[in-house]
Amino acid sequence: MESSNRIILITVISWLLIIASLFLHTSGIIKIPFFNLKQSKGAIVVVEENYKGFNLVAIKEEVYAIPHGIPLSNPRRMKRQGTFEAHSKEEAKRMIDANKEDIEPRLYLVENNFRGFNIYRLGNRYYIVRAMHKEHAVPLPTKYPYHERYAGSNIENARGFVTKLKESEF
Amino acid sequence: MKHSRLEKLFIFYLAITVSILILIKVFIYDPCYAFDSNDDVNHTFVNLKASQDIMQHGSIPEINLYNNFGTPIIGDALTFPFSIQSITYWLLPNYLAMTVNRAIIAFLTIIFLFLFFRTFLSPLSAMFSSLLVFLSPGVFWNFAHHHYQMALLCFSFILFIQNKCSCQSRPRVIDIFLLWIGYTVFFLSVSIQPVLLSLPFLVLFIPIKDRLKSIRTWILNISMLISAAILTSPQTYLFLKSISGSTRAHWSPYSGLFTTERQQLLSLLLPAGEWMHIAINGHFAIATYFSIAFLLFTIAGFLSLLKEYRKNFSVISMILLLGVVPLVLGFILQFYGQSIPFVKSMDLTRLWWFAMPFLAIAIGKLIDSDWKKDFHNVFKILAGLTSLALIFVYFSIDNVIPEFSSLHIIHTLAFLGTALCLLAVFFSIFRDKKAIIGNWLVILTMFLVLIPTLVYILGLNIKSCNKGNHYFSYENEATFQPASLLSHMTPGLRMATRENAAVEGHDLKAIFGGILGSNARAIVASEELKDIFYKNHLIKLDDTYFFTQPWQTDKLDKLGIRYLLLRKEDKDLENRRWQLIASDIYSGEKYFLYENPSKATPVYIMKDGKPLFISDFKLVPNGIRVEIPQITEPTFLVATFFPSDPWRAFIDGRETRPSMSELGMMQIPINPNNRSVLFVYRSLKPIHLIFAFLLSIAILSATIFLNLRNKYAQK
Repeated sequence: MESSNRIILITVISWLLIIASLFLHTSGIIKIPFFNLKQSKGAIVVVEENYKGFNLVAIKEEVYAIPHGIPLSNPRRMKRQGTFEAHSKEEAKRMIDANKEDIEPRLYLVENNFRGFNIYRLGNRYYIVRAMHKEHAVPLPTKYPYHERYAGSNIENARGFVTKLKESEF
Repeated sequence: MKHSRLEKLFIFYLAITVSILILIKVFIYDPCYAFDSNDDVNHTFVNLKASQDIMQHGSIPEINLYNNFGTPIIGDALTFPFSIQSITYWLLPNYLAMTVNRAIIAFLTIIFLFLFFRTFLSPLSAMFSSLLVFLSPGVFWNFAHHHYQMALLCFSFILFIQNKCSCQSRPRVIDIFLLWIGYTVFFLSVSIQPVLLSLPFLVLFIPIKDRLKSIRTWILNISMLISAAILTSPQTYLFLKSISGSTRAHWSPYSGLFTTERQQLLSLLLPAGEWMHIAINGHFAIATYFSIAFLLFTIAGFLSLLKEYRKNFSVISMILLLGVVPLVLGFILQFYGQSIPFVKSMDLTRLWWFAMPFLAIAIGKLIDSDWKKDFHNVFKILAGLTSLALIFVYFSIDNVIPEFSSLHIIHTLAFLGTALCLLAVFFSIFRDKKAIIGNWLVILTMFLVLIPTLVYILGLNIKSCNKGNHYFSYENEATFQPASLLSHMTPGLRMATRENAAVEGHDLKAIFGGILGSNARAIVASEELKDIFYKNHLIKLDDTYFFTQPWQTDKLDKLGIRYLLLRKEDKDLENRRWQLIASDIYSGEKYFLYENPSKATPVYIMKDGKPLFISDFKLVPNGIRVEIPQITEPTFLVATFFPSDPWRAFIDGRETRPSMSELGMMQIPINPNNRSVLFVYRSLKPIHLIFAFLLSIAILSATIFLNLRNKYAQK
């Protein structure tokens, strides 16, 4: 076989290997992380306008306090331009009041999506914030999205609070 | 050009594998087929059914009476009843016809791309470039759809024949005829937008390739283009006429997705659907993705031709004028052309579909070139510096491009592969032998670049055939669901659904049960009718519009709406005597079917200001025949279709021009002695069709005759 044909043959075989591995991955026979590409989700939710010269805007589960005059762009870039990233509307306001993101205490995620709520610890107190829709990455239906709510002084109390809340919804 | 047997075998094999790959889920999931449950089912399938029903009666399909109070079929941008790919819909069920079409068209597209590339490239590069072009995101995403899937096949076929003609001293009659066939099929089978965008490429290819030497071939090409354009002009004319008064003329789903220049530029390097902070709708999640490798390899391939620029002048001109210029122009018009009429309503990235073959020639040339000999040392040093810059960017990506931090391994490898290739170009300063390793790096890097496109567009991370991806759907999605509800409705009557018709499409798919729908879905849906409905608080606007609360029974009566399909029970409707006649569950969703207490039908006469519904009517090809009941005084007869220009009414054989009711419906005055009315939609005049056909054939014949005369005169 001529060398040029040999190169074509190897290219075609490489292509066949790609197709074969895509078949295996898609069918679920073999999970190939190499093909697990990310996919952007979510939408921009305006939480509150004009709080002390900041707009509060949420993307996925985070609330961003954006100073007036800073264009809305990728959160990673906005962080460099003086925006604060918080887990709730109230926490974003606490950051604005303190004029820094690095405040103490901060909401610390304890449990993600417990019956539709994220449970956070703030010092010794536990708060809940409505979680997001897994597929669409927007807040689950609620009257006050991104609003933190006191749920108890320990994790069990907080879970019980959520359970009662869910029962009362029905 | 002669092709070796092995070469034929390789390209045949490649084309087959591509056909199999694009049907991947059909082989894995059952009963999964390759069709889109949105555009294909809700628009193409239903309009092709309407067309076939009319054609079976020996008429030209001009209007789909079942959609949105009558929408044009000829000139609709998604139907194309005379397209070559619509033939399979006569033989097979819709979902299977689309699946078969995709496989065949993909196979042929790869073959003709290869034949086109082979003039300029080696077999390896021609095969590889064919793959790159077919799997380029814009082309590949849109290949799923009926009205786009023939675009690249027709384009590459015409380029191939043009090229063949230009290589002959006198083009053969068969080639002239094939060129004419190619253009005609192109006009009849592909949405007019991409066809128009492709014309500059098809007109300029020969003069650029042959440096203005093949004027005869160019004139021949233009003649065939004009001949085909004239033959298909009735369809093009009706499209332009319909679109100018449509809801789509003033609005575009294609603009405003990337709000900053930075996002626009970054979307060229990595699929926006991966790094954007919010979800990107539809094809723009990937359509603008070229990759850093593709862009830099194209530049490198172009630079490799410059050392012997006199010899390579044609190819250089092609890459520059038919590749790079449209690439830049498409970018500018797409993101900054919102103030230009028509341009604002179009997806100008479609220019890239036709620029891709010429950009891919540059990559093919990079693979074919001898890096040691073909690159100026200046370019080699430039490649080395670019490589270092890429490596620097990679290691400081969190600071330079934070959007790209946490790059997926595929992109990391492709990024580093690109840097290594450019480094190999630099090191060819010191090597005597042809850089085979470098060539391999180019091919492997480009394979890596193709993977995100394949995974994203084919939805390979969705481990089912469910919608969520427009390439595949389960068989039952190809028709009205829940199907049981169709049996509770009487064929020939009208329903409305409170849902996004563009996506759910119950109003459209109701045609499969002979039921008329109300919501708008067609790109050619009338703006005037929309305004009337909106002013009457009947509809909610979305991509187009759909009917919604408050349900005003008196107005729904006058629109001939007999049924309402809702997602939840409506006590208010029930209190107003609407009857819940059926309910069912499909895919976890509940559906409730209500019937209008006034037993509305699509035709009525006005009596004391109220509609008196007529049951004695029949839908006929492109129209409706109504038997008038006994009346005692002159009144109006209303047929609930939008009275656009082509509608004519014949009262007992006497022609009358219909007028418009206050709700945008077609009405005519009638007298007690009138017996029957025939409403007919006539958008085409036979004389125009005959004239177009004869003129087209005359140009074709004259071209062939002149060509033969010159041939024999020369002998």
